Amino acid sequence: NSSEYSMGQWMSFFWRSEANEELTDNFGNRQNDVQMDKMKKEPSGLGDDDFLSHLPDLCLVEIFQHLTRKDLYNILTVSKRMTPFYSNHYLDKVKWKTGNLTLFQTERGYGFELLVCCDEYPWVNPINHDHDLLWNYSCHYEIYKNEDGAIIEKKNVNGSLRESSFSCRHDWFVPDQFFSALFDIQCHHEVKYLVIIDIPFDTPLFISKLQAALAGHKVQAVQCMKMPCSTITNANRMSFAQMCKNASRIDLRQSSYLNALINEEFLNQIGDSGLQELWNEDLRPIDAFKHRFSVAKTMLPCLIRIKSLYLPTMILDTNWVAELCMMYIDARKSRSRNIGAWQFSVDQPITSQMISQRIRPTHYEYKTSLGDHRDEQCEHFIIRKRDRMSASIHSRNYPVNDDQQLHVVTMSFDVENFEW
Amino acid sequence: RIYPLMRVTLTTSDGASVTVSRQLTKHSGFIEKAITDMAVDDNAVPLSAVAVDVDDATLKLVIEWLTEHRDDALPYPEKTDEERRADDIPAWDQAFVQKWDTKEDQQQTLYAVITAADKLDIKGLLDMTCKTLANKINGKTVEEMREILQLECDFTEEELAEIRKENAWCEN
Repeated sequence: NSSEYSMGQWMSFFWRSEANEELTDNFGNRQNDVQMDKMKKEPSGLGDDDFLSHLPDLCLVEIFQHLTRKDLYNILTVSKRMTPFYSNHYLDKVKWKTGNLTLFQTERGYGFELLVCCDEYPWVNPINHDHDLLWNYSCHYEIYKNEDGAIIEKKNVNGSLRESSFSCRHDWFVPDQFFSALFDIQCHHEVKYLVIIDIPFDTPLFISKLQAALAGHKVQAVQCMKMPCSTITNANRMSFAQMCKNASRIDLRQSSYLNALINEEFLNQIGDSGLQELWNEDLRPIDAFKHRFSVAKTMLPCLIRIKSLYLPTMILDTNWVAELCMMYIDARKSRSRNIGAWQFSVDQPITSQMISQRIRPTHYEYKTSLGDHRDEQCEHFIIRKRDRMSASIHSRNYPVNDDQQLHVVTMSFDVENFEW
Repeated sequence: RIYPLMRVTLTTSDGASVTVSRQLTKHSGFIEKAITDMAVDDNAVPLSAVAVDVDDATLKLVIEWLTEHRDDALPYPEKTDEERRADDIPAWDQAFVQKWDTKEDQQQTLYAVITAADKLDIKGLLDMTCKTLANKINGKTVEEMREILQLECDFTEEELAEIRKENAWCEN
């Protein structure tokens, strides 16, 4: 046993800090050990008169990562020993919840505004809070060039920098300082809703840098408003899709230049996410036809999870429409009211025969509004027998050039509620 | 390769020796590395000694936990950012920690086990004990935190005001 103990002693020496080897002096191991303990504690700035001080920094980070940002804010003021942990980057994943971020172009430069909608936030703006607004704190940032061409950054809280926006455009790129400020603000704040206004979508590296700055956030709603764009590159499209990966709502209705943003690759990239609403700009048929794209049938099971889809640029095979409706209804709970609507296009005009022949008669029935009308003016209904959940299908054909038409289909899903 | 029949003698910082099965020590990254560095194989030294910088009482608690968790999957699963919940401590582990709560020095024991789990690189035990301490702090006021962490306020009122002000523009 004594030989084992000796080996243990040897191992004990071996496994301690290598730096320790240089500290051996005439006082022997005892002083050596004291020195080593001191070395271990110095980096964290902790003392040795409490239990917590004996834990390495990484252990403290391990503990603190299970707290909320409110708890970390309290930790900040517990004692000076704890202060450094508040801004420790390993804890950046712990964030204040529910941030509403708006990025915009101003008359002179670019800016952003973060509205914090978190009740626990310690810097609540009392005025807005009293008025019972949805947000209770706001941070504002603007970067612009002054008359001498020098870049100026402005930050304030609970004010506004947007009075001068929307008035005129300038053509200088979004500078790196903008993204640095954005990166700083997102370290401790969750970005739940994102709105981009007036900033050109194809500003070099804008979308990719924005996506990088928001990596790790689960942005739930993305809205693009009045974003000019000359060319949508695939790199920009993929970065945007990556940024929207966790979104339940993507709204492009007020960005007419982004008609071509959503295509099959974009939908593939979004994949089987929780997307519930996808709204494209209300296009003229000729523009929808210009930016048309088709998708593989294998994507339908993924697409039918989207509750509301407004995408007239997406061209589906007409023969899939009946199956699509049944898949959509099958994926919903019984008797859900107002469950959604879709708009897309098909490659051939829809006919009553085409739908009625493709429904599964065991579970579904087909009806049409007025049999004597031409198919183009008909409204078709596919109804699930067991609970009367229905899809109403209406199609319109728009000439887009001398010999081609765009066949736009509008489907709305609800519980059957019409009288015959 | 792990040789489950192999036994390892652990020598504690206060000089005690405990011999345990390799089935337990395989969960400790530190002990496994020590054995590997000794180049032990199944034909050579079956009984190896590793010094652990942990006292005897704490090591016994560690071994008790390892015995219960000897069949846990290895490597310990990496945590994603979302997996920060602290309310998923298994019932046996909760009861294990609860036993210390009857002692006056419960906090000291918890800190000692956290430190041991860190030094011995036992990820499952470290994770569980850190969650336990986090649960004690979670939702508490500053004063309550000071009491739990056994820290005293060393700020002046001016310093506290300055900290809050410094962090007011999105904490920069």
